[in-house]
Amino acid sequence: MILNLLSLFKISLKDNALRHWKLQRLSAIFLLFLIFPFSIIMMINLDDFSYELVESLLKRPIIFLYFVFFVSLACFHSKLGIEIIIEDYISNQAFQSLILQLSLLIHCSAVIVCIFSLCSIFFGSN
Amino acid sequence: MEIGKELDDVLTFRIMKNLDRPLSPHLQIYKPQITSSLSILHRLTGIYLSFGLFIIVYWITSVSLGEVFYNFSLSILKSWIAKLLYSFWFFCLSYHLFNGIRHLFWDMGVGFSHKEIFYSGIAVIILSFVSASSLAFLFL
Repeated sequence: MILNLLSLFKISLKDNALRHWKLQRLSAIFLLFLIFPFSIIMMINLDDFSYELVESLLKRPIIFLYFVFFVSLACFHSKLGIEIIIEDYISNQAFQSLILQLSLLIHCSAVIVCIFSLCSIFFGSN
Repeated sequence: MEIGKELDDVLTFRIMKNLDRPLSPHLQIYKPQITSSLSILHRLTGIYLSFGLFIIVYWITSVSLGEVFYNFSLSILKSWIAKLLYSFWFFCLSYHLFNGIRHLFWDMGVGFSHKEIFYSGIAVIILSFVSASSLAFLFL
C-alpha cells in the first residue's frame, strides 16, 4: 500500500494520461491537508470579517504563503478535474478543444489575479 | 475494391466520431446504482466547488482593492442568497472530500469488494450530511 502511494511521485513526462491521473491524485492529497488551515482561518474571522482583521491576517508571511499555495493548488486540481469532464462529455473535437482552452484561461487568470492581489496586500504600505 | 472499403471505413469512423453521441460514463444508458450515482455526484460537486473557488479569489481581490470595495463585497458575500449557496457549498465540499478519500483508497487497491463499496458509499453520504450541517452551524 505504501509502495503504491510512493509510486504516485514517479511522474513520467511521456505518458500524458498517467501523468494527468497522478497529478490529480497528488494535488488531491495536498489539498486534503490544506483545507483544514483554511477552515481555521475562516473561524478566526467568524465574528465580523472586518477589513482590518482580514488584512492583518493576510499580511502575515505564513498566511500569505499558505493562500498562494492553497489557491494555486486548488485551481490546478480544479483545472485537471474539469478537463476530464470536458473530455468525457463533449464529443465534438473542435468544441472540446475550445472549451479546454477556455478552462485553462479561466483557471490561469484566477491564479494570477489571486497572487497579484495577495502580493499587493502583503507588500502594500497600508 | 480493398481501397474502396478502407475509405468507406475511414468515412464511417469520421461520421460516427462527429455525431453527438453520449460518451463515458453514459448517463442516459446506465441504470442508476450506488457506485455510478456517487461517481456522478463526485463530478457534479467538483464543478460546484470550482465555482466556489472563484468566490475565494473574489474575496481576496476585494481585500486588495481597499476597505470601501471590501465592505461593499462583504454585503454581497453575507447576503441570504450567498448563505444559501454556502450551505450547498459545505455539502459539496464535505462530499467531495470524503468521496475523494474513498477514491484514493480504491487507487491503492483497498475496499473493492461489493460489500465494502456499498457500505463505504453509505458512510460517505452520512459523513457528508453530518459535516455539512456542522459547517453550516459554525459559519452561517
